[in-house]
Amino acid sequence: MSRSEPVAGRSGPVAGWPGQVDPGARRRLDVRTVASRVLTVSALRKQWGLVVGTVAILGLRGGFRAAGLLVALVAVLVVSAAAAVVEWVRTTYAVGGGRLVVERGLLRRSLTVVPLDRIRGVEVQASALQRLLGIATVRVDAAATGRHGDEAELDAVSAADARELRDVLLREGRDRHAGPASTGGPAVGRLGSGEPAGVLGAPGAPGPRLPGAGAAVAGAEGLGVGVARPGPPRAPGHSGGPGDRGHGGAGHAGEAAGPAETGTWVGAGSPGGSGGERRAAAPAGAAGGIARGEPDVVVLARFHPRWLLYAPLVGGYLLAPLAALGAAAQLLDDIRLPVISEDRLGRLLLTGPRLSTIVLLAVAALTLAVIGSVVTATVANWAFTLTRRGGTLVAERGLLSRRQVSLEIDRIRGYALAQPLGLRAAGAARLTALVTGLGPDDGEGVRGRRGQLLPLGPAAVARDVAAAAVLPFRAPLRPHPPAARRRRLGRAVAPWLLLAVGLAIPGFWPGVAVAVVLAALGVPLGLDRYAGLGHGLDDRAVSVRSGSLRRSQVVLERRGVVGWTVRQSWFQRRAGLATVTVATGAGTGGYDAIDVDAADAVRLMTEVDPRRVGPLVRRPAAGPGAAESDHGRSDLPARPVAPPTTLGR
Amino acid sequence: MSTDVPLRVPADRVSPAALWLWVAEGALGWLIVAGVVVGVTLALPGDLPAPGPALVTAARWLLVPLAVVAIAVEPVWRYRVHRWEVTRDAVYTLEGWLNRTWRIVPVARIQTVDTTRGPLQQVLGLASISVRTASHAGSTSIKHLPAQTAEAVAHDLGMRANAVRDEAT
Repeated sequence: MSRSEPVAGRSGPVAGWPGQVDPGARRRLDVRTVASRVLTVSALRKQWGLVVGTVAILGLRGGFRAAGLLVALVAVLVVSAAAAVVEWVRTTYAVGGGRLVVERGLLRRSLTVVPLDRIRGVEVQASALQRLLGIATVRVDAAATGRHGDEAELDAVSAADARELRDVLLREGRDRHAGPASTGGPAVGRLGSGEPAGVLGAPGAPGPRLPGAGAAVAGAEGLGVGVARPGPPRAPGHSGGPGDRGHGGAGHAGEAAGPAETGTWVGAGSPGGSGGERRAAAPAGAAGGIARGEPDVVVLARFHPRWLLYAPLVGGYLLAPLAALGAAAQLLDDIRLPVISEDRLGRLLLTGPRLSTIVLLAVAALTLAVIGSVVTATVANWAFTLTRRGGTLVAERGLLSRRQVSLEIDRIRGYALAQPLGLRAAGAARLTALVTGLGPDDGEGVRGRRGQLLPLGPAAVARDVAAAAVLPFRAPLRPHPPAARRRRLGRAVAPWLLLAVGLAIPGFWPGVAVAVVLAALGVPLGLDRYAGLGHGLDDRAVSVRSGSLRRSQVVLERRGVVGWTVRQSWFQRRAGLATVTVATGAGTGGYDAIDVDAADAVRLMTEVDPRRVGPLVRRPAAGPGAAESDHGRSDLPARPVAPPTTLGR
Repeated sequence: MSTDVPLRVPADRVSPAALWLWVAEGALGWLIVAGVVVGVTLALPGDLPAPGPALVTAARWLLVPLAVVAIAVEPVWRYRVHRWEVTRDAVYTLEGWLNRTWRIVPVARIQTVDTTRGPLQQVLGLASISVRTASHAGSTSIKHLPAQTAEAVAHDLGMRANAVRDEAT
């Protein structure tokens, strides 16, 4: 990325449109946006504190009288509606002249210009309400953003437009990157073209057999990924991608909704259909895909509902319901509902609860956490589907609000296969793509989820998905030397032993006991950490693995390596070890091969990048003094050196 | 047994003036630590239980070897370790004293090259270059070069990075 385009996201009062954009291409957001905004009071949510404050003041002054509340409610709705209408009228967007231009605002006009070649990914998301209305939010991620992330957000356009827009933006951006040789097609023209009816269904058109909201979900599923693939080898169905393996289930349910949803077979959301209907995709679906001239669509992974049972093994899912419970309790406490009167609670605490009560409570909490984790995972990951459409990976997920994330394959540098202890025990894993500019890959937070290629699933499936979606890596990992085991053990045990000694001096024996137990637990932990250590490479990628409670293996394309760091502490030096960090512009930015044999560390770097690291290796015969006989050293750095002509790859 | 990482030493040392800069930094750091230790031990009550007074004395005496290390040992050691080099294809640096860090940054991956001069550096006629890539872990810096050298190297790197940047991320 060495463009000198103006920085994306510059905004401020603007008199007119930049000349590059054809004014004819300007479009409004969908009218239904107004309805959605009024219902969600989105305009007022920015001043949520104000609303809450007002209500609180009303409450303090003479309680909530029904009439007062009603007036307040009506006022809120009216203001919200007015704001929504104004916002709708004043917001336009256009694609043209190599830019996405979004103009908005009444008093404070703002103009956002995103050069298309800066676009990293396009996310289409629809909340449950938006799906009922048949609209969706389009969020554009552009390069060179800070933590603020989103450069432009269009909430909302019709589901049809959302998909069109996504395709146009991604295709245009890619074309500009790759030059005219890559996949093409008159991109901008498509934006204005009408969407074939029937593909997206009428908003809220009830699917024949889906109950309640779920029906609207499937019907209005404008985000549906056409899984239809023209070619015979992977007719949409059970012979699908490597991750597919004939797990039927959720994905198929959508088809049951009938031909009206041609091409929307991911339109899952059908609780009734999750039982694993195994219908082959309607041929009409395939035909639809071709007729609309969509790029090839290949299903790479489809979530099986059974995998939701892995959820209790993941800390994030397990804690989510407890956190929610805590928040709810806080809320109850704030409103002072007499759930348990305080003196009863006090008496309970004073007399000391009986053992049976404690056990009962613990069991209840555990059950709740387990059920809650499955529910959380269901809401987040329901009918997760990963498809490849041309040069883009599209991940779609969600029970109530469907979220669709598009990742440009060009920006994927590798993947992380995370196997925290619980998942590892069950032979499961989580797969996350390392995408340049997408931020860390911890896989738990919202940001992490955006790069997920498989939120939960059997490790074998995860590996297959990784091979199909990113790149295969089958090379064995080299173990690290025994000295590394001593260091892992020492680091897992020693701090607790030190603590035990420290606590023994003042004679705080309970503390000593706890520290000793933790030190003992450190033994298996350290051994497992050592067992996890490994590094390896094949002709396309390099891989490192580490961790026990949070084991993770990272596979990184060689071309994604942007630098190397070798660290050697005094202790490592004595043990003949070193830690190598493989730097990359994706994920967390660097991945460690911990405690590698010092010679292996250099071997790894040399094997991956012989041209650059090779000249830096110390030849066995030559001492450090031989450095002056330099291999490939440039002329005196004090003098500006003319750009050598033999560079580049 | 001690095994070094089998990478050859980068060609160039940093400016000798860096020694004085590290001495100054070490002295400043030591003053802060000493101030905290003395302040805390003075603020403690006089009648501490058994190991208390011994610990206080130990902490105060520890300041002496700390001063020697921070002001005399570490700067010299650093000066012997710190090295840098710009090869045809990469920026190669080695730094540290007890713990060492080697960094290799391919010129083709360089995104920005900055030159900075802190107040002390200006007094001593020094400058640092930071070489950034798309990854924080893949970035490096060459600290405490003579200002003119730093400028020339930064200029050179910037030109070359521009010429070969085909795969920056």
